Amino acid sequence: MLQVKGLRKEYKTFSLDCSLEAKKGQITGLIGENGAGKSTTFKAILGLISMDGGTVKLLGKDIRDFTPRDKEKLGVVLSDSGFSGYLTIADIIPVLKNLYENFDGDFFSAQVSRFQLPTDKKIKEFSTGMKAKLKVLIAISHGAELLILDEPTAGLDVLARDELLSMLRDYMEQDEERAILISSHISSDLETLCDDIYMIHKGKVILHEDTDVLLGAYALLKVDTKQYAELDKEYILCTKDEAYGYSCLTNQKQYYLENAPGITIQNVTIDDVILMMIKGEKSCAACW
Amino acid sequence: MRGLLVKDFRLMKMQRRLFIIVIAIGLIMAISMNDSAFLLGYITVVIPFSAISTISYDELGNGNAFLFTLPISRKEYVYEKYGFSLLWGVLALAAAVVLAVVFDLLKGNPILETLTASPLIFGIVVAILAVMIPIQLKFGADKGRIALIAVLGAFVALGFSAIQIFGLFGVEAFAWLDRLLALNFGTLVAVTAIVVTALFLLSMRISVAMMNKKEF
Repeated sequence: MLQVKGLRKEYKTFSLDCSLEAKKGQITGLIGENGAGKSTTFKAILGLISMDGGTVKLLGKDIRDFTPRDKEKLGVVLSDSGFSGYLTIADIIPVLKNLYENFDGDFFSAQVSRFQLPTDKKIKEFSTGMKAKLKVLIAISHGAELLILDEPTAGLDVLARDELLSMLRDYMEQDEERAILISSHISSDLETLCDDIYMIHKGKVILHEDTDVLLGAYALLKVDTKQYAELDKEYILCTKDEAYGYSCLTNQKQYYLENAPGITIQNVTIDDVILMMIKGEKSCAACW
Repeated sequence: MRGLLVKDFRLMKMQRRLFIIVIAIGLIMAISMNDSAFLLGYITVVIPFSAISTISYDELGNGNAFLFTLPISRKEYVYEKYGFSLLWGVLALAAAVVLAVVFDLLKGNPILETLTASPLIFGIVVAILAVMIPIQLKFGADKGRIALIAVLGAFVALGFSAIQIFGLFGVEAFAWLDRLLALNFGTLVAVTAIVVTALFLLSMRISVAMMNKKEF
């Protein structure tokens, strides 16, 4: 569906070097702090900015050869951009009808009423939640094969986020051939939604893992200085100083459960992994 | 392309009040001066400019980034802006001519002058659009205003220098201009049409090249 290989973009104070893939039938997450390069990656994938190197293949086609007709197969949400705030939903419906051959007006209108979005109010007067729902609705209303969603849940409360994520799950359930690439800095959203996750930091992908593996096989070992000295560090990815000694991130929880009795082994959340990967001292070159 | 046109018509709908004000001012001035020339010029020039303002609406809140993820190309976007502005130019000209002719008939003024002036005014409008659209696309709403003043200044300076340089070589620029104006009306309209069309097409090419390079 989407292959990004060695994508490079150089700015004065930031450089991006990223490779990733989104596969059919899967939801792929891109996670990272603000300014890590998520939006730059999305913009390069969508051809909004030029690339200084690398290739982007979208739906089997090089992005440079992507035609407006091909773009009909994409549904896009950008965090900082959308239809002009001076338009209303009533204005947008005929625009979408004329832009997308497969625009499903009935579905769109039904969802607009379901979410109680006002059709004759200017979008700029919408609440953050309303705007976010509208953006996602626009992306999923024309039978897109691939959704590219940059921070679709930013600024939303738990309830609105939950509604939005179920919209995305419904979209995936309708057709196995579909795929989603989604970014967020709220990792819990991605934990429950994504099949695999890329972690991006300072313009580089520092981790790519299936979500199940990440949550199942990764763990935090909490050890004091003595335990740390005796610890087999073969499967330790990174280590961080703590008041009690060290916390160590591993991707082989089972190994330590079997071979390191007596130490505290704690399941991880994606936030833990991010914190360790970014703040911790790396012990394994392979994960960087 | 159709989708973009629908969007721009919806955005223009917001400027209904401006159109009423423009027509009202045109009429008031025409009545007070007992001359329809201002009415004709004012409406034909001001209304197409409000079509260019859709470029600023698109840009607001980084809207262009999303716009170019829609199934349109940058080239189509540029063509649509030129087509849309030109369409409003034609609509404004038609409305202005009708109003001016009705005014002249009511006042018993000759209508020939109004009718002959209109193609030339339209030519000027198209020429101004050809200058303004690339500036708006390149610099956006705020910087665009400054850029426009700079470009107009540059044009005047360039024209002035050209006259001086021609003078050095013994070519009288004003004599050329006089000769041009002395042409019969049909030739003048034809020359204007050719020059303005060439300028418009050149401007479109420049705009497409510029948009293709832009990053959002």
